[in-house]
Formats: sequence, structure tokens, C-alpha cells
Amino acid sequence: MYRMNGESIFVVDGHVHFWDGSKENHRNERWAESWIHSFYDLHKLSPEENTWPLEKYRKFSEEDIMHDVFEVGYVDKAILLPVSLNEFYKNGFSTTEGGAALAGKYPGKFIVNGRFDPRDGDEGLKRFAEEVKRYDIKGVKLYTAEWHGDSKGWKLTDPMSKRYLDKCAELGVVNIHVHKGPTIRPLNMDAFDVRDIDEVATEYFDAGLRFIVEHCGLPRLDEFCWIATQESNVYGGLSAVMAFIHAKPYYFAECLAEMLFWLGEDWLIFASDYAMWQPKWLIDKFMAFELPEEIKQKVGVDLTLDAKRKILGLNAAALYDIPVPEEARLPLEVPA
Amino acid sequence: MSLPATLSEAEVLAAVRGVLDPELDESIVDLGFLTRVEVQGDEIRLELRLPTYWCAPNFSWLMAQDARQAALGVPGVRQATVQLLDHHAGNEISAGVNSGRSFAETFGEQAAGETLGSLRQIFRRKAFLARQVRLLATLPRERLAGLRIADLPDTADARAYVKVRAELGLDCSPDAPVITDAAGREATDIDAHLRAARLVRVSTDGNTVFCRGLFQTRYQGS
Repeated sequence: MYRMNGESIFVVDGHVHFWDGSKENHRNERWAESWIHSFYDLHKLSPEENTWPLEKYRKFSEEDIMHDVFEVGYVDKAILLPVSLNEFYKNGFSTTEGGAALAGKYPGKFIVNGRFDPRDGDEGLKRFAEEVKRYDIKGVKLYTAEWHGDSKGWKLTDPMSKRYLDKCAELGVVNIHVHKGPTIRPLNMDAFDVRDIDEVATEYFDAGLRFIVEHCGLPRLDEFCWIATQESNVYGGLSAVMAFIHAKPYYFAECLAEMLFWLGEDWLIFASDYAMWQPKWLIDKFMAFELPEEIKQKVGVDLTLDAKRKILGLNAAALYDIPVPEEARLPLEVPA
Repeated sequence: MSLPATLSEAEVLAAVRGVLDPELDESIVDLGFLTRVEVQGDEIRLELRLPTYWCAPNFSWLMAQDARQAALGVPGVRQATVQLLDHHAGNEISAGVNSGRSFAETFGEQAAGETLGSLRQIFRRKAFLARQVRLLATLPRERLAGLRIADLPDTADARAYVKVRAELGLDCSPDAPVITDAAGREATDIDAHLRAARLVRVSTDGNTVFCRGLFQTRYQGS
């Protein structure tokens, strides 16, 4: 809970990791090493005092995440999103099992998300269904640019992907987080392309699926906004966008204003991408942040305290049925 | 018989300055991506570095290829090579570009159906909108209705916009309308058009800030 002038702000961190980028976990030395280095370059967009040495960043402890996210980071509930990268790391980079083990030790703190990869076929579909039941999964993180044998990526509209989405709808896995990652190799498609989300969002609307596009589709913010404005079940996950707030606050303001205009304050989800960035400084800066007057005028939006409440916690709480303490609910949210 | 004039690094740099990052619509020299120019007689060797190890190979290819072409266009240059460094596909891209092969020839199956020409066009159209809205932001709103090329001020924003219009083959004559889409059709609802174009501009600027930031953190102190 973030508290300020007698106000209580409920915080859900929509995207955290408990990863293992240590050398012991390398499967493919070159890719694994390059991966963590690119991650580290992103981390260095943080304020200097919130930057770790690379060695700590490779693999941090349980105490670190509990301290940074919950003890000092204001977070009430954190959503663990896996990133497998099994071709790079022996035990995966950030896994559902690892997340579940951590969550089991600290009841009530985490929501554990699963994953699927349509290229795992029927066998994988069976395993996925078992995993959903075992860990009581309500959401998945999909990483469409991930390598898998000879394939360097996939699309949500692939026939096998739709069979997995059908299974999600059947099992109540309603929150589909999608990361449109970098094209890791030249592909016969553009892995940043967000248009496949458009099609599945429409197709699975009645089935109750919601698509949370991580990093708001960066670097395709424009295309993401055009899709999200048409589809009421498409949300923007703010990780990476949030990091602008320190290094380039004016651009953060411009991006956020556009998203407030095209999506609206009910469709944006705060996320730190911990340990990429730490929630404490992001939230401190976000709560102190105001849109510059000229941007407000030009775009015709405002970032009110209620908008901040929604973005920091209430929107994600609604997606994941997380109970919000009475003190932190919106003033209008009085039960009839 | 006259001796060939000595090529200077500055001449090559001036030529390569015209090469744009297709996604960011900004010079690769100004972005700092061109990290080395070596002139040896009539041979040029260029080094490129990008903000991340994983930068999309299709864009990376375009920049490497354009840089080599620009260097080859300098009078007196007989040979030019580009090395794309610190990139996951750097060796293949450098070898492919330097041998004059196409992207599809270099990457075979993995690049099946990938036409860099259309990718380039998509981003030129985005650059068109971004440049237009940057220009229009410098003019009072009440002047925008019916705005013609002849009405434009002589500013860097206006010149940049007219240049991209010309590249896209759009009418740049004094009577041509300024506020058009990338196909040259005049906008009927200026405010709606501006909102959509502004989103493209914010997206492009955001990516530029991000890429510059990553480049700086990646090559801090270098």
C-alpha cells in the first residue's frame, strides 16, 4: 500500500520475475550471456542508486525480491510472469515452477502465471492443462519471439495457438499477457507486429479472454494504440514505458497521455518488470508525477489521483479478482 | 595522367550522414551508430554498432546496406565494406551486404517472404506523418485549413517534410495541399488526422529516446 496525505493506494505489480541468469544455468553460453547483458542495459536506465552490479543482477535472492517489492516497494500483490528461454538456459530463465515455489513460501503475496508455446503441440497442451490445475493459474505470459528448435517465433493466430487459447477459455485462464519481443533472427514475419492480437481479441471476446500487451507494444506503440482503442479486452502493461519516467520524463508524459487518450485509464496496468526496474522508485516518481499543462491541453487528457489508483492497482485487481481493502477503493465504488 | 584525389574521412562521413535508421527516421551518424570510418587509399571500411545485441536483423540489414551504398557513392571510392559489430547476426549481415547479396539470399528460409522494400515503405510512411505533425505543431491551428505548400515557412521542419513528400512521390508544387495522408489525399477532418499522426510521432520519438538511451548504457564511456 502506498500512503500519502491520508490516502491509501492499493498496488498490484503486474509483471515481476524471479529469474536465474547465472552461469551455472547457461545452456547456450553465447545467447544466455547476450540475453542477460541486454537485460542489464535496460536495467541501467534506472536511477544510479537503484542499479545493481551485473553479478547480482544475474541471480538475486528471495530476500531481495521480498524486500524490494513488498517491504519497501509498496506492492500488495505481485504477478509472476515466466520467461522460459529453454534454448538459452538449462532450467529456464524465469519459470512457473520457480515462481510457484516462491509463492508457496509467502502465501498471499504472489499470483503465479503460467505459459504455453503452441509449438509444443498436443503433448504440451496436456501438460499445460495439468499445470493450470496444479498451480491454480489464472493468467499466462506468452513470448511470441521465443526460439523453439528451428522455429524462431510464432503468432497468436496460428491454428495450434488457437487450440491453446480455447483451452485457456475452458479452464478459466482469462488473462493473456503477450510480449511482442524482438525478432531474434530474421523471420518471415515481423515479431514486433501486434496485429495478431487484434484478431484473437475479437475472436475470444465472448469467451472472456483479456489480452494484456506487455510494454504497450513498444516499439509499436502507435499500432498497439489503434488496436487497443477498438478492442475493449486489450490492455496495456506499462513495464518499460514506466522506466521513461526517470530518464526522459517528457517522453513518458507524451506516451502516457496518448495511452490515456486512445485506451483510457481503465485499461492500463502498472508493472515494474522487477528486477529490471524496482517498484519503489517507479511508484514514488509516478505518484509525484503530473502531466505537463501543454500536453494536457494538446491531448485533452489528465492524470488524476483516481487514474493513478486504477493504473497502480485497481485495474489489475479487477482482472485477477484481487480483493481491495475498503480504504483503497474508489470513492464511488460503494456497494449498492 | 592525374593522380586520384585523396579521399577524406569527412567526405565519407558526409555521405553516410544521409543514411537514416528506417524506424527512427534519424541519421545513423547523429545517432552514434556509425562508430568508425577507415579510409585506405580508395577503400572504405565502416563499423556499425546498434543499441542492442538483438536489434531486428531486417532493420539492421537496411542500415548496413545503405551505409555501404552511400560510401560507394563517394567519387573515387573503389571498394566499401561494412562491419556490423556486437550483433547476434552481425557476421551474416556484414558478409551478405559486402558481397552484394540480398537479405533473402543471405538468410534463406528464415527470411522467406520478407521483402525489405515494403518494410522500408511502411516506415517511410510513418516518417511522413511524424514529420508532417512536427511541422504543423509549429503553425497556429487557425492557419491549417486549406494549407498549401506555398504557405509553408522556410524552416528545417518544413524542408524535412517536403523532402519526404518528394521521396514518396507526392505533389510538392506550390498549390499542393500540405495536410494529406501518405497517398496524397487531403485530410477532411484535420483534428482527427492530427491526432492519429501525433500518435505516430510520439511512438517514433519514444523509440528514438529508448534506442539512444540503450545505446548510451551499452557503450557507456566509449
